[in-house]
Amino acid sequence: MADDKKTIGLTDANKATMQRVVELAAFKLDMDAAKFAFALAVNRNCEPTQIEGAGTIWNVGSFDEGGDIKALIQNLFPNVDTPYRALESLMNVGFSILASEIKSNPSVRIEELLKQETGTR
Amino acid sequence: MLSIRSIALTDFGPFKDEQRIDFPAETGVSIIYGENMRGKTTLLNAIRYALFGKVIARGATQVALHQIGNWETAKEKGKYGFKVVLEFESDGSKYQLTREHKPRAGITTPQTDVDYQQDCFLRKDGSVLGPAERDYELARIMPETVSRFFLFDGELLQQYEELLRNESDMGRNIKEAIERILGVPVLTNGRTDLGEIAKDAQKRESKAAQKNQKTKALGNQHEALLKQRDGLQEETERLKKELEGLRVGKASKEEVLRKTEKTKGLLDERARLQDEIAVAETRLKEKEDKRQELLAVAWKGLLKKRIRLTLDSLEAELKSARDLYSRALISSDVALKLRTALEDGQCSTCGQELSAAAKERLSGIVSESMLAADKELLEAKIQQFESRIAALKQSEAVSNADVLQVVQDSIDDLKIKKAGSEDRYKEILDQTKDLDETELRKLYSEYDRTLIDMGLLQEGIKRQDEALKTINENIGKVEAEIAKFADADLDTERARKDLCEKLRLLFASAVDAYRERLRAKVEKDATALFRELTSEPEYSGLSINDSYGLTIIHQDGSAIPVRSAGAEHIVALSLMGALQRNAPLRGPIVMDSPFGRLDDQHTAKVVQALPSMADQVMLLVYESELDPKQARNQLEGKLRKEYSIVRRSARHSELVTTAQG
Repeated sequence: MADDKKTIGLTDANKATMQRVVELAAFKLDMDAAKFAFALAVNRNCEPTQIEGAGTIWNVGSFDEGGDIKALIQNLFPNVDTPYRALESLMNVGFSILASEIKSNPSVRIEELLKQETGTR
Repeated sequence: MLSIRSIALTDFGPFKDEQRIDFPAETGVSIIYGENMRGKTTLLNAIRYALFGKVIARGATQVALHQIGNWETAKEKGKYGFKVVLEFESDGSKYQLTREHKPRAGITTPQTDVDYQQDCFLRKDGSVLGPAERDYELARIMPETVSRFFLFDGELLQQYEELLRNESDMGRNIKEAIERILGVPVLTNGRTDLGEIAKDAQKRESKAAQKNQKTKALGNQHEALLKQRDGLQEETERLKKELEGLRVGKASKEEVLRKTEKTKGLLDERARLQDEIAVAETRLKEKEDKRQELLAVAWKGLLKKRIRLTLDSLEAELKSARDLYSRALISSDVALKLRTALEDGQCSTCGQELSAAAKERLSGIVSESMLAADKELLEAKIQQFESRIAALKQSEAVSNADVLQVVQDSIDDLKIKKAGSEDRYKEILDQTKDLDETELRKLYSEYDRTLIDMGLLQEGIKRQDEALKTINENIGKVEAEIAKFADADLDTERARKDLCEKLRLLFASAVDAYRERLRAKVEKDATALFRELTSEPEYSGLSINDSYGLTIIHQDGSAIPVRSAGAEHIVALSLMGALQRNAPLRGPIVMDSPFGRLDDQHTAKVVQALPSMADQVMLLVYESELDPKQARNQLEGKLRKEYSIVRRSARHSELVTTAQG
């Protein structure tokens, strides 16, 4: 297995989006918003890609304490051999999706988006 | 009977410098017209001031007297103080009452009542009376306690409603005032005096018993018990007086509280809103924490669809791998048998020799069967599928979107509720920013204290009464013992005591009988007046209660439980008229804005009835309340004089005689 990342982060644009999302949806932690963004990208059938220009924000040990996310990525994407790199790329993609959602509806509520994504409305 | 002849005011309220009006000697109605803020109530207060040295504001509270002087005079001339001279007749004598407030020596700019000195003189038929005689005369001619039935302020009407509630202290006070005007105290004082005489007779009985050797010991015991009873009675009286004082204080506090009810309501609402906001904040915090908890795991719900798709695909792959593996297991058995047949050159089942062609065909089949290494690979693949499926199933979470929405909805509701409470709170804060809350709270706390003190006193009086009952029983027993001995002196004293006691009981019954008769007469007269005044033909009359409270009776015999402000007004006027007709004390009725609550029809009826209510009636009205033409038509020959209060400036009004009746 190739060397995986020990720290993960966001591009500047996605970091700004994260701050906006945290403020809008009142997430308790930035990390909670980042996990939401990752899941959103996965839900939209996005695949892990290479991401350029991501800064360092979290240590993977604290972001994924029990290693559940790593295992999940490995099970969802068996070809991925660097799950944290995949996680980083997917959360960046997720924030790009969220940025466009906010752009099209600046007063979008996270509950609405969640219902829309999971088809519970 | 008191009849006012003139009033002269000097710098009293808006009545700048000296102003005087004379009232006609003939019986009838005088009308003083004045628009709002010109000084109608001040004129009523000038009469009250002359008679009692008091000025009453709206809400029955006393006004600080240093505020009464004319502002313009004070500003222009630096002159403070005011004076009222009231000339009146009563029982054939002519009186001139002068009351004046002027700054004390050395005080140039008075600030409070203390900075003024009050002078009051009463001339009777030209001679100045001494202070004691003056006070006696004034109290006889117009006792302050009954003045409410002569100096009538529409604002005080609500007090009459209190009469309908027997337990109300204000009602009790008014009832006592009514009984005073009706002369009941003459009998009640007689009853009290006879009680005192009976007690003296008992003391004489003790002395008589002490003189006789046979009854000396009993006489001593009797005397000791009487002394004990006197002590108890004295203490009971003291407690009752104290309770009465508190009761009066409570009634006046209630009057003030009634006026501050709205303000108190605002303060209570403000406190309630403060609590509501605090509770909403706590609940909001709880909900927001809950929402953040849900939001922190919301991402898991978002993965559900993708996990399910992956699981479906993995389960399908697992199934096909397992099928392939099963098939491989079967084919490996067949291959083993074929290999044995090829080695033996004959069929292992039938033993027949294999032909060359058969051997070649069987060799082909054997070579195509799965190798052991392939099987191991397939097994590993199956294991991998199973482990991925198990892991993904563990990650498969139910979406909490619905729960999150419910929590968010409650947060929204709480925020709306909180914002509403905050808006109202700010509004009240603004309304109460200049309020002296300490004073108001003090008032309420004093009222609560009064209630507690009254409760304690009532309990004390109850215990005193029980002790009195016991001691009276003991006195009775001793008196029965003394009665067993024959003694002329004792018999005389006993007879005196019995007579006094019988007279006391007679007076007591007379008080009750007189009250009953008075009530019946007041009810009858009030009913007659009410029927004259009301425009409602279905109302047949009024019914009186023990407190002289009057209830309207419908022609079907039922009581009208709730009445309008206008009806209340008519009932109060009926009561006033009935009291005037039945009172030994007679006087003028001065009414300030009495028609404000009445429609034209009722106003007309009241105006027509005024001459029958009292010999001298003075009306203080504004023209839209009572049209002068209408008044002249309705009163005809009974309208004696008309006056106007004319504006000179905001702080200067003038009394002008406009028409002679």
